[in-house]
Amino acid sequence: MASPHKPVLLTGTHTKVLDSAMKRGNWIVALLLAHTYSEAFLREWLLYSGNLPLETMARSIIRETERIRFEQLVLVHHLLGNIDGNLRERIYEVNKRRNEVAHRLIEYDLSDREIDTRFRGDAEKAAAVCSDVFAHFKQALDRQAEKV
Amino acid sequence: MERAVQRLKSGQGHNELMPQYIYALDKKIKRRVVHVIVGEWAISLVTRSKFKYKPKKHAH
Repeated sequence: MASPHKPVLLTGTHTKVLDSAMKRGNWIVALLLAHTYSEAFLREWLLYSGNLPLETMARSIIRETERIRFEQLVLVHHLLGNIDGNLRERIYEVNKRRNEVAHRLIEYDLSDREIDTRFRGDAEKAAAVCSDVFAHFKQALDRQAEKV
Repeated sequence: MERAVQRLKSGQGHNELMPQYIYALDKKIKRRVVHVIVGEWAISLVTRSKFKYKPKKHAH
Protein backbone atom coordinates (compact mmCIF):
# COMPACT_ATOMS: atom_id res chain seq x y z
CA MET A 1 0.00 0.00 0.00
CA ALA A 2 1.24 3.49 -0.85
CA SER A 3 2.38 5.69 1.99
CA PRO A 4 -0.20 8.43 2.69
CA HIS A 5 2.50 11.06 2.16
CA LYS A 6 4.29 9.75 -0.93
CA PRO A 7 3.07 10.98 -4.33
CA VAL A 8 1.68 8.29 -6.64
CA LEU A 9 1.01 8.49 -10.36
CA LEU A 10 -2.61 8.69 -11.47
CA THR A 11 -2.54 6.42 -14.51
CA GLY A 12 -5.88 4.63 -14.49
CA THR A 13 -4.57 1.40 -12.94
CA HIS A 14 -8.16 0.57 -11.97
CA THR A 15 -8.65 -0.89 -15.46
CA LYS A 16 -5.90 -3.46 -14.85
CA VAL A 17 -7.38 -4.39 -11.47
CA LEU A 18 -10.88 -4.79 -12.95
CA ASP A 19 -9.64 -6.71 -16.01
CA SER A 20 -7.72 -9.04 -13.74
CA ALA A 21 -10.81 -9.81 -11.62
CA MET A 22 -12.94 -10.41 -14.72
CA LYS A 23 -10.33 -12.61 -16.42
CA ARG A 24 -10.27 -14.79 -13.31
CA GLY A 25 -14.08 -14.98 -13.47
CA ASN A 26 -14.49 -13.15 -10.15
CA TRP A 27 -17.60 -11.32 -11.35
CA ILE A 28 -18.99 -10.36 -7.93
CA VAL A 29 -15.62 -8.92 -6.88
CA ALA A 30 -15.41 -7.07 -10.22
CA LEU A 31 -18.90 -5.60 -9.70
CA LEU A 32 -18.07 -4.40 -6.17
CA LEU A 33 -14.70 -3.01 -7.28
CA ALA A 34 -16.11 -1.19 -10.30
CA HIS A 35 -18.75 0.48 -8.15
CA THR A 36 -16.20 1.44 -5.49
CA TYR A 37 -13.86 2.95 -8.09
CA SER A 38 -16.74 4.85 -9.74
CA GLU A 39 -17.81 6.32 -6.39
CA ALA A 40 -14.23 7.28 -5.53
CA PHE A 41 -13.78 9.06 -8.87
CA LEU A 42 -17.11 10.89 -8.50
CA ARG A 43 -16.25 12.06 -4.95
CA GLU A 44 -12.78 13.20 -6.01
CA TRP A 45 -14.12 14.89 -9.16
CA LEU A 46 -16.35 17.18 -7.10
CA LEU A 47 -13.23 19.00 -5.81
CA TYR A 48 -12.24 20.03 -9.35
CA SER A 49 -15.74 21.10 -10.43
CA GLY A 50 -17.61 24.38 -10.29
CA ASN A 51 -16.41 27.95 -10.00
CA LEU A 52 -15.58 28.27 -6.32
CA PRO A 53 -12.57 30.63 -5.89
CA LEU A 54 -9.51 28.55 -5.04
CA GLU A 55 -8.68 30.59 -1.92
CA THR A 56 -12.02 29.63 -0.37
CA MET A 57 -11.35 25.90 -0.70
CA ALA A 58 -10.92 24.63 2.84
CA ARG A 59 -10.68 21.31 4.63
CA SER A 60 -14.10 21.93 6.21
CA ILE A 61 -15.78 22.20 2.79
CA ILE A 62 -14.07 19.02 1.62
CA ARG A 63 -15.16 17.17 4.76
CA GLU A 64 -18.76 18.12 4.01
CA THR A 65 -18.50 16.81 0.45
CA GLU A 66 -17.34 13.47 1.89
CA ARG A 67 -20.65 13.16 3.74
CA ILE A 68 -22.82 13.53 0.62
CA ARG A 69 -24.91 10.43 -0.10
CA PHE A 70 -24.14 8.56 -3.31
CA GLU A 71 -27.41 9.46 -5.09
CA GLN A 72 -26.94 13.15 -4.22
CA LEU A 73 -23.35 13.02 -5.43
CA VAL A 74 -24.46 11.70 -8.82
CA LEU A 75 -27.23 14.32 -9.00
CA VAL A 76 -24.78 17.16 -8.28
CA HIS A 77 -22.50 15.94 -11.10
CA HIS A 78 -25.49 15.90 -13.43
CA LEU A 79 -26.53 19.43 -12.38
CA LEU A 80 -22.97 20.66 -12.92
CA GLY A 81 -23.03 19.18 -16.42
CA ASN A 82 -20.21 16.75 -15.63
CA ILE A 83 -22.29 13.73 -16.62
CA ASP A 84 -25.34 13.38 -18.87
CA GLY A 85 -28.69 11.84 -18.01
CA ASN A 86 -27.80 8.56 -19.67
CA LEU A 87 -24.63 8.04 -17.61
CA ARG A 88 -26.50 9.13 -14.48
CA GLU A 89 -29.13 6.44 -15.06
CA ARG A 90 -26.46 3.81 -15.74
CA ILE A 91 -24.67 4.76 -12.51
CA TYR A 92 -27.95 4.43 -10.56
CA GLU A 93 -28.58 1.03 -12.15
CA VAL A 94 -25.11 -0.23 -11.15
CA ASN A 95 -25.55 1.24 -7.66
CA LYS A 96 -28.88 -0.55 -7.21
CA ARG A 97 -27.43 -3.89 -8.31
CA ARG A 98 -24.27 -3.42 -6.23
CA ASN A 99 -26.36 -2.71 -3.12
CA GLU A 100 -28.45 -5.84 -3.71
CA VAL A 101 -25.30 -7.96 -4.05
CA ALA A 102 -23.36 -6.30 -1.20
CA HIS A 103 -26.21 -6.67 1.29
CA ARG A 104 -26.66 -10.35 0.42
CA LEU A 105 -22.97 -11.19 0.03
CA ILE A 106 -22.88 -13.73 2.87
CA GLU A 107 -25.60 -15.73 1.10
CA TYR A 108 -23.34 -16.40 -1.90
CA ASP A 109 -20.72 -19.12 -2.06
CA LEU A 110 -17.96 -17.19 -3.85
CA SER A 111 -16.05 -20.41 -4.52
CA ASP A 112 -18.97 -21.61 -6.68
CA ARG A 113 -18.18 -20.51 -10.25
CA GLU A 114 -21.78 -20.99 -11.39
CA ILE A 115 -23.08 -18.51 -8.83
CA ASP A 116 -20.35 -16.01 -9.71
CA THR A 117 -21.11 -16.32 -13.43
CA ARG A 118 -24.68 -15.13 -12.84
CA PHE A 119 -23.22 -11.68 -12.14
CA ARG A 120 -21.11 -11.46 -15.28
CA GLY A 121 -23.52 -9.08 -17.07
CA ASP A 122 -23.76 -6.84 -14.01
CA ALA A 123 -19.98 -6.75 -13.63
CA GLU A 124 -19.45 -5.89 -17.29
CA LYS A 125 -22.02 -3.07 -17.08
CA ALA A 126 -20.36 -1.75 -13.90
CA ALA A 127 -16.91 -1.88 -15.52
CA ALA A 128 -18.21 0.05 -18.56
CA VAL A 129 -19.75 2.69 -16.27
CA CYS A 130 -16.50 2.92 -14.28
CA SER A 131 -14.54 3.38 -17.49
CA ASP A 132 -16.89 6.17 -18.67
CA VAL A 133 -16.79 7.95 -15.28
CA PHE A 134 -12.98 7.83 -15.28
CA ALA A 135 -12.78 9.10 -18.88
CA HIS A 136 -15.01 12.09 -18.04
CA PHE A 137 -13.10 12.71 -14.79
CA LYS A 138 -9.80 12.63 -16.69
CA GLN A 139 -11.13 15.14 -19.23
CA ALA A 140 -12.14 17.43 -16.34
CA LEU A 141 -8.60 17.16 -14.92
CA ASP A 142 -7.15 18.01 -18.33
CA ARG A 143 -9.34 21.14 -18.47
CA GLN A 144 -8.20 22.16 -14.98
CA ALA A 145 -4.56 21.51 -15.90
CA GLU A 146 -4.95 23.84 -18.90
CA LYS A 147 -5.67 26.69 -16.46
CA VAL A 148 -2.43 26.14 -14.50
CA MET B 1 1.79 30.26 -22.11
CA GLU B 2 3.62 27.09 -23.02
CA ARG B 3 2.50 24.28 -20.78
CA ALA B 4 4.85 21.52 -19.89
CA VAL B 5 3.58 18.15 -21.02
CA GLN B 6 5.25 14.84 -20.48
CA ARG B 7 4.88 11.44 -22.00
CA LEU B 8 2.84 9.11 -19.89
CA LYS B 9 1.88 5.56 -20.64
CA SER B 10 -1.89 5.54 -20.99
CA GLY B 11 -4.32 2.90 -19.74
CA GLN B 12 -4.82 1.73 -23.36
CA GLY B 13 -1.20 0.62 -23.59
CA HIS B 14 0.18 3.24 -25.95
CA ASN B 15 2.08 6.46 -25.37
CA GLU B 16 0.55 9.81 -26.13
CA LEU B 17 1.19 13.39 -25.15
CA MET B 18 -0.81 14.19 -22.07
CA PRO B 19 -0.32 16.00 -18.79
CA GLN B 20 1.17 13.88 -16.04
CA TYR B 21 -0.79 13.72 -12.83
CA ILE B 22 0.15 12.57 -9.36
CA TYR B 23 -1.88 12.07 -6.26
CA ALA B 24 -0.14 13.92 -3.43
CA LEU B 25 -0.72 15.79 -0.18
CA ASP B 26 -1.97 19.36 -0.55
CA LYS B 27 -0.67 21.02 2.62
CA LYS B 28 -3.20 23.85 2.45
CA ILE B 29 -6.20 21.56 2.80
CA LYS B 30 -4.31 18.65 4.41
CA ARG B 31 -5.67 16.17 1.92
CA ARG B 32 -4.27 14.08 -0.92
CA VAL B 33 -5.50 15.48 -4.23
CA VAL B 34 -4.51 15.43 -7.89
CA HIS B 35 -1.49 17.54 -8.85
CA VAL B 36 -0.31 18.23 -12.40
CA ILE B 37 3.40 18.09 -13.16
CA VAL B 38 4.67 21.28 -14.77
CA GLY B 39 8.43 21.23 -15.22
CA GLU B 40 9.91 20.43 -11.83
CA TRP B 41 6.77 21.45 -9.96
CA ALA B 42 3.72 19.50 -8.86
CA ILE B 43 0.76 21.89 -8.70
CA SER B 44 -2.47 21.08 -6.83
CA LEU B 45 -5.51 21.29 -9.08
CA VAL B 46 -7.63 22.19 -6.03
CA THR B 47 -5.71 25.07 -4.41
CA ARG B 48 -2.78 25.61 -6.87
CA SER B 49 -0.31 25.17 -4.01
CA LYS B 50 2.86 23.54 -5.31
CA PHE B 51 5.98 21.64 -4.34
CA LYS B 52 9.13 20.52 -6.12
CA TYR B 53 8.55 17.06 -7.51
CA LYS B 54 11.20 14.43 -8.12
CA PRO B 55 9.83 11.36 -9.92
CA LYS B 56 10.36 8.10 -8.07
CA LYS B 57 12.97 5.82 -9.64
CA HIS B 58 11.48 2.40 -10.35
CA ALA B 59 13.65 -0.68 -9.89
CA HIS B 60 13.56 -3.07 -12.88
